[in-house]
Amino acid sequence: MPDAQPLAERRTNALAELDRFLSVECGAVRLPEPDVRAIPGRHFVAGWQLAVQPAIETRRLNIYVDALFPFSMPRFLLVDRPAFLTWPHIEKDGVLCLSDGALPLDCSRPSAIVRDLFPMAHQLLSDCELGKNREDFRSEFLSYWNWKLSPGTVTLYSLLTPGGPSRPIRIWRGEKFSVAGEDQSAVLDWLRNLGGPQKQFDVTDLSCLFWLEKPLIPDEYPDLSSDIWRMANSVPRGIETLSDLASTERRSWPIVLGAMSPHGPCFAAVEMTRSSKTDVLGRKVDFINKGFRPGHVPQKLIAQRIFNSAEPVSRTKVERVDASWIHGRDHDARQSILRDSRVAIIGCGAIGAPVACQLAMAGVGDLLLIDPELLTWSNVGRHPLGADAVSDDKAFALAKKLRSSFPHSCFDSRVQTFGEVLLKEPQILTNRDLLLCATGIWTVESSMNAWHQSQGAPRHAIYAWTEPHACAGHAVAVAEASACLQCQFSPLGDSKVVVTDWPQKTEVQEPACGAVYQPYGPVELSWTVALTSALVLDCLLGKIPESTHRIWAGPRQLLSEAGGTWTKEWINGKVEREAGAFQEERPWPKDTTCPICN
Amino acid sequence: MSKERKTTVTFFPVDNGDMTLIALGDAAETKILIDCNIRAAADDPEDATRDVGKDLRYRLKRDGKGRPYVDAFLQTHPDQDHCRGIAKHFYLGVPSEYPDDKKKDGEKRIFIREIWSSPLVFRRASKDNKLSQDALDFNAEAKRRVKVNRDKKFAGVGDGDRILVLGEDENGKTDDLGPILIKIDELFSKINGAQNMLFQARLLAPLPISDKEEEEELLSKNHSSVIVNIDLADDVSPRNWRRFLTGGDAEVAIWERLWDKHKKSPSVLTYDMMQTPHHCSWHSLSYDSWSEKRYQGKVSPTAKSALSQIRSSGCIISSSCPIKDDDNDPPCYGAKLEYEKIVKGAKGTFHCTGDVAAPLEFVIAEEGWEELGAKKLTGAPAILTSGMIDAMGARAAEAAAVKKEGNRRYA
Repeated sequence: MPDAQPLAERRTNALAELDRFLSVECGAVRLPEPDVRAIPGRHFVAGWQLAVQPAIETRRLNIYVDALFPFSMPRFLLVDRPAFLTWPHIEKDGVLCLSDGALPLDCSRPSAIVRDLFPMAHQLLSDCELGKNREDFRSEFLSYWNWKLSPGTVTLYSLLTPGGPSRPIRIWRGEKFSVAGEDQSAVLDWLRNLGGPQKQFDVTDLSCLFWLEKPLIPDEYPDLSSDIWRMANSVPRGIETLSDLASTERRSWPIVLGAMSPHGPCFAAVEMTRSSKTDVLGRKVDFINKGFRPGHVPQKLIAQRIFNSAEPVSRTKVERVDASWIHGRDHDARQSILRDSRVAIIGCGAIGAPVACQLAMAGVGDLLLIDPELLTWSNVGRHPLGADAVSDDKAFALAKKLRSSFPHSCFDSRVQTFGEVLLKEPQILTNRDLLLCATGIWTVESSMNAWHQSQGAPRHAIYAWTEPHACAGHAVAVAEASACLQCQFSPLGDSKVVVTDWPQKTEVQEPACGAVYQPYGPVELSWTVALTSALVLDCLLGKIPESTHRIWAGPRQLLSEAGGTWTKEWINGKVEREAGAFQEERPWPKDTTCPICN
Repeated sequence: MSKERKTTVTFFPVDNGDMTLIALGDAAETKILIDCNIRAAADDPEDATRDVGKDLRYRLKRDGKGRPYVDAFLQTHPDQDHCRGIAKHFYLGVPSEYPDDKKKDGEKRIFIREIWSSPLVFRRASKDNKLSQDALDFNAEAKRRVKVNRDKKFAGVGDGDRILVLGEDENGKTDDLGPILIKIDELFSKINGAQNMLFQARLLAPLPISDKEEEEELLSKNHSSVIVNIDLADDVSPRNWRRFLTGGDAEVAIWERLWDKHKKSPSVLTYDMMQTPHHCSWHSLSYDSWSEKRYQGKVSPTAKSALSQIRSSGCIISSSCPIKDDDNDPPCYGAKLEYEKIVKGAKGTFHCTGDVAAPLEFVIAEEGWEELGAKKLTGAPAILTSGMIDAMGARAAEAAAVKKEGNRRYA
């Protein structure tokens, strides 16, 4: 691109234009470059200063740009400002938070960018001066709380159900992080899923959640234990809960604070520490039992003596790791169903394994993975498991990987064939909401279909496969009391619906007995994977009452480059199908002569 | 000593008129305003005229009740270009009846803790001219304060009632004002009732009332004004005192008399910074008409001597429109040339408020005064007014360069 303006020249011109605008039209003063570059953590290269009078006071306002300008957002820094966290949307160094930082800019008009931002900055400062946006401290609680954390504290991961009432909870405390959950098993299961069955994942401590009327504003952030004591007084059973905590022989107590903000629930945590009081001679004083015989101090008084004190508390960050947050950040209405869904996947190969990953990411709460094979090097190119899992059992290794990735969900595995599972523990299949067969092997598919029809459960079974070179993919959902898989298959496993036609054999033989494979890659296959995953979710969500067939027809170019053509039956006079690259849904009709379901 | 606490003199760009703020670098950040010229256009956010009202307010502190205030307001004389906007922007009345406490800060009138005013100057000005409403209101306020002081026998007078009377009035009318009267040639260093360690001023004019009718007439016609030579310092030890001479619109005859009076002790008139009298008027230096005689006009050597007592590296500031080589007076090009000669001899500088859009600000330097410019931040850059920002918002709505709403893409 010989005519393109060099980036450095574009930046120089943009700065010159901005300088003219700010200096001439706005009367701004250019800030000395060494001062601009000295601002820590900002990487600004140019700055100007002017004054604004938002609503009350006249205040100096600096405008800065970084080396990417005009492709980056100019930043406004309020020089004359009250103490940090007196006003919302102003960072510790005074930089205004005018947007989420991703506003699209017209980089061909550098000065207009700043011109457009001035009214936003002015409005923000006016609102600050007039106290109009003070509630933003509550609605964006997490940002402000996390700016006031105590040094040296570790983040608390929360598995808690985000809501009231105030209640006892359990906490596991580690050196790098802590975990809070509704009960001990929830916390320990999560830890073991994440890190394996280590011995330190054996015990949790009693703690409590105070569910507050609304999120705190900075003035209300607790500094002392007595602040927590007052908080406990304001929530139902708060004092009783602290009394229970006081009865534990500990020197410190983490307590989780929660509230509902306009933008959803939010959590924070504090840690209170029992002080060692000494007399004037430096001797320890038993202030807990003072005035009582040991063992006769009322529990509530013990709590008061411990917690209603001037001991400083540590403010800690809480990050939600519960399923509702991980999958959709509380805004995926499907989660309440998916979280409780139980799916078994038979065949953890090039389709079954990535579908398992997608379902786990989508929030399906319980997956059972069944596959008897080991992962080989030749699998690695189109399998979610990589080289580090070669020679591992596919089902076991995949379950292990998913457990550590999604420790709030449940993943189990069987390194067995479908037939072995049927023989040994068929109940682990019948108690599922859905079975997915992703083997493409007719003997497995037909046996599963026959078993499914005989059991009448689970409600759905899905069969997924691709055609040669992954130029077309199929997913058939067999619903209860509807057509079975066999209805549209020949007794030898030939589908009645075939999309692609191949003039010659498509399978490739490895230099080994029975080692044949289809030479497609993960990208071509991804459409069939997505087709299958989406059908699984639709079944789980109750959208597929009748047996249904979904077909992915790949792009014509892919087909022709691989040497295939569309079948006459597929085109069937419909010329619009020639181009391919579309998905089609059609009924899976019942065959009244089907030997399985009749 | 913080940057903000340096003693600063600010000349606001008010075209032909005076409005000068002395901000002392003391702990109280004491402020003295000399004259006021806030035109209606400056108050109009749609007008391009500099909003000097906001410039001024920006530099003022707020008291415990949130009122913007000056510690002292010196009215050099009651011409409109020295008192315009007083009634609108300043509170003139009984302190306890201040009515703006519930208003927005920008709408609150500025509270004047102490007035410095000369009844003699008002008397002379009203002889030949009709005083403006601003001047009349200010004079009424000065009289009210004098009455309060008299009634209280000059004891227990609080903020908003204080006044210093500069120069004795005719017929012994100010003879009983001892504690609040500053006599000609007297040094004073009290501001709002308290001694200030960074401030000392000598009252040089108004020249006393003359028994001779002709002389008195001359003084009146020469724009009798308060003239003070003010010593200012930073809050450092040892003190580095700098002198600022300001004299309203006083013209040639007055400066001649001052030189005659002080030529044996010219240090009375020395300065490090001087505000040109009468906005760089030719009539402060000459009896001739500039428009008629131009360069043939004769400069009074006596008056010029009074105005030439500049110290090394001193500066002279013309508070006026830009000075062009034309017939206008004031500001007068011929006067500017004279002043430039004066500063050249002292290796000093000449400045005009009309030459720059922003207020001219000076701080005490190792030698003389140092102008705070773009290279040295003043802490008081231009004010981007609400009107300008609203206009930006309107333009932004027409052709946005920042997309705030609409389709966005994600990854």
